Amino acid sequence: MIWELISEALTTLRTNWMRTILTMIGIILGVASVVAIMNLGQSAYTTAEEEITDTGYGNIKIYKKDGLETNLPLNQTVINILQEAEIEQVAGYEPQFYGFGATAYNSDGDSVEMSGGYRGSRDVEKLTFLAGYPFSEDDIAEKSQVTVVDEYTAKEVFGSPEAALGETLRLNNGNLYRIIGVTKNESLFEPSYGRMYLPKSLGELEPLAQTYGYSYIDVNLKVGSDYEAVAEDIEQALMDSYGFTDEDEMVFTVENVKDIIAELSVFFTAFSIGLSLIAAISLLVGGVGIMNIMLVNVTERTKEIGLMKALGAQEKDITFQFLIEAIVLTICGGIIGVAIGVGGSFLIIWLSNTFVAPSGYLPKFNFVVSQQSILVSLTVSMLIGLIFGSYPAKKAARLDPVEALRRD
Amino acid sequence: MKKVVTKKANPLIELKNLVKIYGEGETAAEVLHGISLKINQGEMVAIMGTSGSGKSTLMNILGTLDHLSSGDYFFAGKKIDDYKPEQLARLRNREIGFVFQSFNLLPRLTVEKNIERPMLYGQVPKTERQARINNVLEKVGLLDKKDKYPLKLSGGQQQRVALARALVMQPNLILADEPTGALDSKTATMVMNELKHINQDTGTTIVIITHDERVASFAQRTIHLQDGKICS
Repeated sequence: MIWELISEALTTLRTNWMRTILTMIGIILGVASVVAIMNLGQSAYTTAEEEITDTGYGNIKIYKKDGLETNLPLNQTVINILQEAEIEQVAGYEPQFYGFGATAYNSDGDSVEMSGGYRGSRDVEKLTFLAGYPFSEDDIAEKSQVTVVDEYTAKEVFGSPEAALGETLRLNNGNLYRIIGVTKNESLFEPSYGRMYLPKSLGELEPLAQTYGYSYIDVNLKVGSDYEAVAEDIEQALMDSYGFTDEDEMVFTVENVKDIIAELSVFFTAFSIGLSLIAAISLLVGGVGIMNIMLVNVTERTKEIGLMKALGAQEKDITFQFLIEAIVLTICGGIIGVAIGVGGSFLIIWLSNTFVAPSGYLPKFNFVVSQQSILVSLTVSMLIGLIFGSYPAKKAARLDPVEALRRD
Repeated sequence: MKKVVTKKANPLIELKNLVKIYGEGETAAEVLHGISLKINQGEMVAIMGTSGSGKSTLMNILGTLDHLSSGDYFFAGKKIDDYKPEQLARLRNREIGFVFQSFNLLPRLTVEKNIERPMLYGQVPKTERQARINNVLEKVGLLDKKDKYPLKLSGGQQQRVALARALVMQPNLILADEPTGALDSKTATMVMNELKHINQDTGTTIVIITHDERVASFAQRTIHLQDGKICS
């Protein structure tokens, strides 16, 4: 019986499709906006999450606290302290040093602004190479004047990654470095300056690093470690060693990437709740519209209802029929809303990636669909049909057949 | 699917002193003044009267669509005037088939679906429904119109579909309210003949409400109604 009623309901809706669409608009808009915004939010969140977890080697970073004037640099001393502390689950400490401004020249005099620095050699290996290779053991042992540059540098100065291989760049400290590898730009943002990696063994930058301090120290954890516990241990070791008794006195921040993601989550959840409230209002309004139309429906089909009673329909048969019609209406609206929401959010992300991302103002987003929002939207649509359709359905069932069948 | 005709001792329909009053208090109007009649299983009876005679009211009460104000209504020996709405609906579904002046077919459904409708309410299993639909369509000679929509059929054809629908639950009684009112005389004759044929063939009791002498003549006997009273 239920399939009969559903297909009948669909036929009824199709008969007067203009009216059907107008009735559904409230639901469609409510659902579409919820789905679209949830998709955009989820896409942004996932993209950020991936970026955070992909960057860097370890998932714990040690930074100097912002804005503090201190003569305690984040340098080898810190690494020594931590190594002496012998914290379990730590496999190693990788200092990262970058950020000095420099200019690199080729033999023709073409130049490109650089932000150079070194990474642990293992880090360079982890990058994706478009041409050439990372530093080899020999390079490090022989302290060769070699460098690995990024895609941007290669293209700007030499035209292409392949063309850059084997060429030399000169830094404004006068030294020449031979390019042995070109890496892919991993960052979400389009760069406006180049990157140049030098082997740490060259020792070029070491004095600078020790004086000014590393940009951060990557803590390399063993597989399956408890990030939070290790982060706490590190913080404790540093506090003990430097004589800080209070977290506020600490000049270093031990950042656990999970904390960042947790913060994002909180924001995201709050955002979703706020959004849901707005959507609820919109759907409520849509629901009232549905009830209105169903009442009109019932009035228009009085004769039909009288006939059905004459044929022996029970009150519950008639209630059921009109309820199904209302629910089919709202679910169809929900489905259309979901389609528009997904399509719309996809379009927005595509537009952003194509037109805004190249300038670097926004990163490139991965498009992610929030399945949760789709499921919730469809369920809510169905409930709205059920709730707002029940009054008209009951009214239909209680119609007096004699009145209904009165000869025109 | 020939119905077994059993001449019961009980009449199928017995009305004892049926009174119907519309409205309350000062605006109350007594429309039927103590009707008593008996209709036996297998009869084809016409109830004749002018408009205002109360024949529509009487038909609605016979069909359990309306309630009597006082008196008794026995259907197949059972006093049904104090049945609950659910019981009455069941009775209508299984025992009574309606044929209306304006056909009252559901326009958005095919002929087949229209005829199927009472069986859905009566929870007839799916396997049986097709057979019954074919059977009744055969009886009215419209098997080839199964997939058509009612508005594509002529008036006479629509009424015959309505008749098939009325028969599909194998009721004991068919109530026809001015069945030929919307038809031309040639089609009217054909439909009335078909009713007569069904009555003779299956033994289904048929009660026809009409103001038309010629229609009444198809019945075995006529009950005359005037001003809410039986007069012949």
